[in-house]
Amino acid sequence: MTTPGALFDISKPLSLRAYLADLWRHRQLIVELARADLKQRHVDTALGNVWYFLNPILLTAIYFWIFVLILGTNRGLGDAEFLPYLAISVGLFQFGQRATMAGAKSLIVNRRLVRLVRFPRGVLPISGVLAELAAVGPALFVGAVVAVFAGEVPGFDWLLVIPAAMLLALFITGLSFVAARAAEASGDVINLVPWVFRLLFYLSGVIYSVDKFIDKAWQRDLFLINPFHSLLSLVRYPIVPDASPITGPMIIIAFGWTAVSLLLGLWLFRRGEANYGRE
Amino acid sequence: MDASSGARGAPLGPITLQANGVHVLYHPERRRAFRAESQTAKAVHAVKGVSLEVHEGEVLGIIGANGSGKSSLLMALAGLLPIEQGQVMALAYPALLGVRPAIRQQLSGTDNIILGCMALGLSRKEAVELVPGIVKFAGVASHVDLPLRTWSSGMKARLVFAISTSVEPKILLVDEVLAVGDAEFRKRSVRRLRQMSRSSSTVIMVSHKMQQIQKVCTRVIWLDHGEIRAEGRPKRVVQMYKRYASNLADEMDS
Repeated sequence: MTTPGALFDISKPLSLRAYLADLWRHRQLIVELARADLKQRHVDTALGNVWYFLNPILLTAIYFWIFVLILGTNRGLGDAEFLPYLAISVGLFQFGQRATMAGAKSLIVNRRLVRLVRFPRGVLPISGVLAELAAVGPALFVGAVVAVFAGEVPGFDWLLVIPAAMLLALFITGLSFVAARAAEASGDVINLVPWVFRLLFYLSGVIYSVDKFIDKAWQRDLFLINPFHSLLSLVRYPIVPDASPITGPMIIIAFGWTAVSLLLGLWLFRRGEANYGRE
Repeated sequence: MDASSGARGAPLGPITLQANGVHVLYHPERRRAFRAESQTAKAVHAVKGVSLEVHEGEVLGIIGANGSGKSSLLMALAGLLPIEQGQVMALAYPALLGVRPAIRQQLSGTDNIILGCMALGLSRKEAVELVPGIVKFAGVASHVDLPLRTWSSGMKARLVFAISTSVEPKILLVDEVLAVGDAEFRKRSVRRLRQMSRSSSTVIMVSHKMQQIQKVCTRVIWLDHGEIRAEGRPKRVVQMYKRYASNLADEMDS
């Protein structure tokens, strides 16, 4: 930070560069907080880690039953073809919602820590997202197994889901910075987050294929704006390329949204940094 | 004032913490901007232009009545409260030891120790190495694997004290925690704080226990309505404060 032995102004906020360096220095704390979070969560469950697999399986089963078997939202795609599409979408969308919520609550649940210990507060939303990221591996695994049963042939190109999921996680990290700042300013935000995600859920083609369902071009463009539509398509594509095709604009939109969310999130979050935890 | 040497006669080390005209204001209306009733809330001026210098090896005590701004000053010195005006310069970010610790009730003693040490800036490896010593000092060996919700409040307080003092912060700020634990633990806590000041740390403590202040501190500041009223040898400042407090009590009774 400064030369050893020299006094420095601790009441002055860090420059962006020093802040990022400070975050990096606290990377072990980010991991430890996420680990503590997961430990706490499983204290009272008998099944523990099994829930990571049960959650996406149960959720996929419910949506498959209601939307595919009863309502037939898989228009143009076979039931079996649609099942892996659904499994991956549902699992990852749930990660997005839970991680944003964890980020939103992170400054509030760690209030005592914030009052007592100085560290870059960005540690908290990041570790909230990281704890939820633990669920992504199992969700993708469930999706891949379902895909194999549906007749897809596994290959090394399936590994591309990992960078695609990372891109989604980065987007969510930015979003959780925004949510954390907003939730700290007003408790109403915590109530609002599920509604925003519910809307995005229905508008992102998680439970139906946008290409097969939306006919009008301008309506499809509207879906394109939804970051989840592009980001989830990118994750699905390596495993179910036919059911979930991607286009050039979708790739640009996915990266664009990620950049916007990270920059905006960091900027907004840092502006409130000095006042977090105050009465 | 004895600025050139510590109260115990030892020469002072280099400056580790320096406050220049620090003002702390609370703006209740800023925090709850959406609520109508807060429009009338006024800012509270908790610390009014405090300047001080603390050296290596010093144990500085801060005394004063409730609401005199002691805790706000301590938070500001820790870099935890934004200051309205002025500046806090330090050799390192100070560690704050407070009465309401940041512990996790669902986690075991060991997990809390590791997390606590890492929050204070240690690596995971360093934190793990400190676990046995902290458990021993806090005297909580029998409970270390149990979640903290099953611990007594005295045990938790001892654990937190042991964590904050074991990471060997360059500057330690202590807020009213020497009252925790039984007589034996209090004695050991005092000894540990003295030890820390000898091993080139700086300790600043806020306390209402005048006996303890006199026992541990090398210098004392009396804070009154956010301003420094007196500063100097512990015995002298504590006496001045006591005299003032008893006069005030007499006035209020009559």
